[in-house]
Amino acid sequence: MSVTISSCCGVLEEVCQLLEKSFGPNALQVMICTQTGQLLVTSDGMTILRSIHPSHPILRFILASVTSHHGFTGEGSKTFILTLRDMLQRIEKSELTVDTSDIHCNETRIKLAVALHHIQYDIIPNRIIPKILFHATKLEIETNKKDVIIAEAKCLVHTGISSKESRVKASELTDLTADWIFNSSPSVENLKETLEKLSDHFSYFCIDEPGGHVLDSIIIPGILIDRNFVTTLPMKIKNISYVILDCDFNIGNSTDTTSAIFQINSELNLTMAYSWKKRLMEKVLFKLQQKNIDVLLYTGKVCDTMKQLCNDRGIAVVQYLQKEDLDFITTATGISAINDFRDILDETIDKTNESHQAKENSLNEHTAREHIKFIGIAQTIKMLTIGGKQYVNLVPFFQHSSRFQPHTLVLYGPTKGLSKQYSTIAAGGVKTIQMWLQNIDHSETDLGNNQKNFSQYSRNPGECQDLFDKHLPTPECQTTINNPNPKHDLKNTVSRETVFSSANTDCSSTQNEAVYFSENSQPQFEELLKVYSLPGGGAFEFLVHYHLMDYIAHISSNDGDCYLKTACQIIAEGLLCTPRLLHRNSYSVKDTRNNFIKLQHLVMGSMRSNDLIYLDGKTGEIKQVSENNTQVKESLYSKIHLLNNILTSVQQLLKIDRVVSVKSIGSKSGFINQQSDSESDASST
Amino acid sequence: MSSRVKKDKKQTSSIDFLPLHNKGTLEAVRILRDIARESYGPFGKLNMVQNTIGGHVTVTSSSNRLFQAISVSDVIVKLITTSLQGHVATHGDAGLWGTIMAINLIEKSPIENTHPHLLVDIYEMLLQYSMDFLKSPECPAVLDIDISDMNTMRDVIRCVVNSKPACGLLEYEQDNICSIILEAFLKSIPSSCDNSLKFFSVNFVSMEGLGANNMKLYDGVLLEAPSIPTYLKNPLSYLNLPVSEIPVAIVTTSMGGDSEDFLDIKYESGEQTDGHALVLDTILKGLANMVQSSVRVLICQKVAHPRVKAYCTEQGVMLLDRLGISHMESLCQLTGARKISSFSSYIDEGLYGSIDSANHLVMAGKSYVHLTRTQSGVTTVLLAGRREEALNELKVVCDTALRSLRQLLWQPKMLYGGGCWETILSAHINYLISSKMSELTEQLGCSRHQLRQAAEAFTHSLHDIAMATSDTKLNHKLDMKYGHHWIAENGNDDYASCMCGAITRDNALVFKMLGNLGIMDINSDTAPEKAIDIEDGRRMLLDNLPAHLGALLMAVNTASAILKIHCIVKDRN
Repeated sequence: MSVTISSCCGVLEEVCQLLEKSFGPNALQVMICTQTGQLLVTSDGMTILRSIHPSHPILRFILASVTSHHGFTGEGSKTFILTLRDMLQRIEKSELTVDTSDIHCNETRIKLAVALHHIQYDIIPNRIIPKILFHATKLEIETNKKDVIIAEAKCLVHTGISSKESRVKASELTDLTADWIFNSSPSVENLKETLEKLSDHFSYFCIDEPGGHVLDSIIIPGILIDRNFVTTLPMKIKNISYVILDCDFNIGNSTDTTSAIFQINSELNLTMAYSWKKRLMEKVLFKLQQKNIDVLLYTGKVCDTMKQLCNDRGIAVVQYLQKEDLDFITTATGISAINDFRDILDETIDKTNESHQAKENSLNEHTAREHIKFIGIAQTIKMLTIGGKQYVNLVPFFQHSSRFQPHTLVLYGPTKGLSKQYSTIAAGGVKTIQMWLQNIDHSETDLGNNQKNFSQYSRNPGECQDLFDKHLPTPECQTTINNPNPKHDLKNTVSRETVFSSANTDCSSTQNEAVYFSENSQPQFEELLKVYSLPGGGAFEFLVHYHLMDYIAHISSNDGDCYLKTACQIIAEGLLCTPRLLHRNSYSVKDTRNNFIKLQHLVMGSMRSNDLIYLDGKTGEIKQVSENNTQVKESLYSKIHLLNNILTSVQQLLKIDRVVSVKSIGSKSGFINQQSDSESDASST
Repeated sequence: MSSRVKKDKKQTSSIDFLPLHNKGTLEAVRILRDIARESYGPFGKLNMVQNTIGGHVTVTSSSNRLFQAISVSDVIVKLITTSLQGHVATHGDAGLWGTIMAINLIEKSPIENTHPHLLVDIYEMLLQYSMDFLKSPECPAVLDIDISDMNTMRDVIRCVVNSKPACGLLEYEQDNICSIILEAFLKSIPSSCDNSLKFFSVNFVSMEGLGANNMKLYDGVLLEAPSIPTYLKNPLSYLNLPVSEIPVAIVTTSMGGDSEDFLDIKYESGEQTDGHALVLDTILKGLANMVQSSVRVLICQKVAHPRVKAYCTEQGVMLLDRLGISHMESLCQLTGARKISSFSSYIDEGLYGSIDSANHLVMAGKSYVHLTRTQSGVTTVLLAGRREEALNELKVVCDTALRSLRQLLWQPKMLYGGGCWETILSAHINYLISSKMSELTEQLGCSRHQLRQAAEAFTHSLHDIAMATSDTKLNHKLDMKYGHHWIAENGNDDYASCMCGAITRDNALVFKMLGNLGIMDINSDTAPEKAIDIEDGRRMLLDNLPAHLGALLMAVNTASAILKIHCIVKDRN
């Protein structure tokens, strides 16, 4: 099956029809009826795309790219598909890519792909991004300005959520998500680590429950274990000692297995075999009682005898913990599971163990002598009933030096599907803030002539910093950030520094003086961490469009440049799909919306005088970026990442000539009949 | 060897756009609304539900049982029923109310000329206002309940019982069950408590075939005992010795001869050794210790071996086995015993409880053991009815009534029933809209016309529910002073009192017809007043406040979610 650009556009058409109305702050919802009969109501792009189950290989290929992008950023899946479709349509209409009857890949498509590659890895990072940084907001994260960071993070999260829910719910979910993240992170320095932990064990740290309203959602200190006490509840209310037991009393150690058959000859032996388990349990529980253990978290099944023994000794037991639960509990509490009951009997759990692995890995000297703890002390361990289900709530001690203070977010919704939607939104919020904390990473780009400069700066972060500082203007303005949620009346003053990369001068000088950051040159947290954001509402897209069109005007019109020029136009026009859709989906009582082309001219006019304006997705009005109204914000890093991924996908599609499918042997109707063993039947396949 | 391997190909999901424009969906939604509307209130009709291929027939007007019985194929209807089922599972009441409200909002919403997002914003604003209004201390739609007044408490129960005609109770039978439930509730309140209030359990035993006048409240627990022949007289007399307490042990492990204490290995034993016998011997030794400690009643959650039963009979111990987990909690509360989980370890005497008496009762040809203990508040309500469906409905009603009474302890407030609180709320919403029109349009970013239309859809939905509380289709009126709901009996203008019974007719009252009352039709100068002079002892219709608040929340959220749906994706795999 040959692959043409028009066929690619065709397969995307129905998907885009589905996604267009679900785009922007006025997004409508899609109801998904899953295989199991569950109903989801959502406008989350990734959820919608996953429900489609496309059969066309090109569409599946595109969805795989979107999935991988979404897995990294947590957002942007709708923008990805819609922008990709728009760019492909423009390529289809372009004079350079008239499809001939020749089924082989068009040479022009290859050349266009090369031009796109050059734009992606040279022009955009070296010429466009430095100019965009002029308009970007860089927030200096200092440890004593946590409330400022919270306000900024809420802005970003609110931007993503406002397209998925109504005003009241979006505001509530924004507050909940941000409060949950920042409650779990005692200081700003640990924010990244906290986000990683929350993201890795999201389904444990965020629980969705049907049968309630989102306004009833709560943040609970500590962790929730989806189990019940099988014995009496802990007698103590606070300062409760606990251990995690991951071994089976049945056969001793999980590694001890035997297929031997034991012979029991006498009544005495039978009695001893019968009482062996009970005696072992008594010994272990006696040792635990000596250590004042109040709660036992157990992975196995608690038999009746163990229940009785624990009740007698006042030890509360939670049973049936899964292996995955252990990993989560260890992450949250720092307490490791005891894998062999002999460690309890030998009192090995009292000794400090050196981490042998950390000794081998000498990169990080801080963890060379790591204490592995087996006995934990919790502020409290109690039963909680949430939405009709019972949970064990374990609240570890939050010390000042704790890097992570686990909190659990409980989200209520009317039905399972809707509550699941809210937790998906919260997951997106976590990823949004993670993306926002990334520095602009140029390590993945092919810088060509600037490779030397880049490697020089990456080895010498100090020089990088000097170069960076050279271009910093003195802070000119003190501005105020208003929290988008009127409930929390935070007004903070932050100094904003805008970065000049000599963007106002000609493009050639930008190459040598542009500022590069990479992961290796990332400042330690003793220095200031710089994060960039831009207003939403198509501001990024307008900026890239404007600067690309500006660049096109500078390109000389010789043959070698015609593909480059076309590629630039395709990208520039294709990116306007986002503000165009925002405009289309908006509604306004005042009806002051003009034709989008008129709006576009207004925007371009403003950009010529270095003013940044954006589109209000609700009303379709053009608004000037000012300190008071920039409530919709997007992480610059994630926008650039999105653009890179879209361009990569376009290039890959341009290079695909045909799809070759493999049929299984002897499967004319897709049915393999193995009733007959005769060789003649086998040979006919 | 024969096997067929079918290569399954994943099917692309089907996509249907604009489901609310689909005739089939609209029809299904209307049918659900009609079912809920017809079943609502004391004049509600019964629904008979049966699968098309046959099977059990459910007769009910209760949303709890109705939603469980009907099977739904349309996804929009399924979303509504799932959402309201969740509400009923939490609150136990107001499921039909929520269903009617949600569907009315969907049908009456002006989606042709207002963007769904804007509609949802307006509804959420109205919802927030309604919640704040109903929760405010001086809310005119809320009546403060004196929980020490037993007549009022009985009225609360009567409102619940009255609203379910499927129970098939006559008036004096309703009075009887109201008294029984009230007494059970009062006995279930502990005399002292620490931080958390834990009620004593109230058990229900159903007796099919007896008339409803046989309903009765028993102190203690009634357990079915098929092992005791019905013809015996005083078979438990040996237990009721002249002692103050009869020691009781509660065992939750199996006494059938199997044990989890053996290691999970394979073993061979000779003829003289038998694991089964060893376990039984251990159990019998444990029983012997119990007998030595004077235990006379042994309650076992699981099965007991015949040798164990024989031993108990020999020793004069009454054994009740195979009771299941459902009775364990109430038996522990009654006897004060702690559960014994194993015979392998030493059984402390502190685990035993006690009862005051154990009697044999025969009812409807079945043997029961009646265990009592004076200090305990555990009670058993004997529900009697001629039909199984009536009994099932009655059980749900009793459960709902108990829940309402318990909620009154936390929040002694009820809503004026009979449609009155709905009309009061709608009057206040009308007042809000007409007095703050400019401010609200600015805040919401909508036009006056859009706000008015959306608010009218909201208030008309409330009016529709108010009108569903009676079987007359005419003469539903609203008084302009208090905002209560009135209907005229016999089709004339004779309004004696409002539907809830709080307000009697006053010549100064001005009425307007309900139905299509617009925002501009209401006098917007003042909001309706709170009725203060309510006669003591007046029998009133009341609605559960927390349940209806929850239903309002659920209904608006569900309707909002459905209004914003622009397409449905169905996985066909």
